[in-house]
Amino acid sequence: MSSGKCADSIELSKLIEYVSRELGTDEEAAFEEHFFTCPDCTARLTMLADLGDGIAALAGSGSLFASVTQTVLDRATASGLKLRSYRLEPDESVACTIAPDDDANVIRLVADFAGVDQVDLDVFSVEGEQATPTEHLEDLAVDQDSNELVLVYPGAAIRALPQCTFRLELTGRGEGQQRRLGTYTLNHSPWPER
Amino acid sequence: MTQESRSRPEAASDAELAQRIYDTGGAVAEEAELCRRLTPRVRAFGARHLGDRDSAFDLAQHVMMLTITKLRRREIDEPRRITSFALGAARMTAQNMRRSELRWRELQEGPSAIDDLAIAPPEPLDTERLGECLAGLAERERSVVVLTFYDMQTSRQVGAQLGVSEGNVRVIRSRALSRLRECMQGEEGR
Repeated sequence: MSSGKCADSIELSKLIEYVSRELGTDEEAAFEEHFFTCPDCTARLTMLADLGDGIAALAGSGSLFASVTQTVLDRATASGLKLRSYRLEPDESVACTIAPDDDANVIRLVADFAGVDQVDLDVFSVEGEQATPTEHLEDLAVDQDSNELVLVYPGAAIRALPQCTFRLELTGRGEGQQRRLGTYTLNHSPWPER
Repeated sequence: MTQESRSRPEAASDAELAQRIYDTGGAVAEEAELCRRLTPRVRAFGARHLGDRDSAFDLAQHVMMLTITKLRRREIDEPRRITSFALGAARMTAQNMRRSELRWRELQEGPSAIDDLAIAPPEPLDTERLGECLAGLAERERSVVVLTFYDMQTSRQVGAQLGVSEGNVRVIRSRALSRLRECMQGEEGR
């Protein structure tokens, strides 16, 4: 019949494994035999596939803030995305901007992440001596290959900023302790009008 | 088959619809209903094997054209096993599309093209809303779904890149997608 709940109660995790290309060949073929007769599983699969497609589209346009890895940046660059990248050591400052045709800014924060299970980031807007907290981000993903925290900021959001300074403070938690991993300063200037 | 299901295509099984098209050499309402049901299944298959919505839709159009054409011409041995036929056609066509980057423009020129079959395109995704939903995820969840769906990494690869176990990646990914699904469905319910 044309509708109804799945009689085999296929779990969401199985659907995700299918969409994520993680089922073995035989298991995948058997699952396809099933969902071709199951409107319920098809509807749930379609929803997941659409979400995946949307995530890829947003990430691929540089309009999604996320901590990512070098492989994501490589894919973005290969597909034609223009990324303006800044790499900062602890206690380092950098003058940064974004060009009209840049799709995103990439901020790479170097630190000693050894023994750290969780990395948190506090962002402060700095004016003179005053630092105002603007954002607190918890449990950011660190790229294990580069040993950096790689942050992608959407170009449109950065382009809207006036001349300003941000201080980024990284904190690591692990082994029952908390320690400061580094402080980084971004001195942003809008792209000069010609 | 009941009397009611014989008169109402939407109440008939897939097999019954296929049998009616086969028997009559073409039945408009039954063909439309069969397309309505099978197109999403082929699209879901195409999204997995071809990687994007456009190619998946191309695949769905071709498979449905082929399926209906074969039924009308009685070129299918077992019309009541129509879902198996559609899956087989999807597998073969997807393989050809991957091999030769064949697209709908070329497929349309094939012998299966028929004019009176309307295949509805997929609903456009509300990417603005999805962006809002993604912003509401935990940072690690967002990273995992970006690596999974943009960088096409398996949970093992994501785990290696982010320094977490494969099992943990699956948990994070599942939680993230559940939250995104709820968030997007919440939007539909507004």
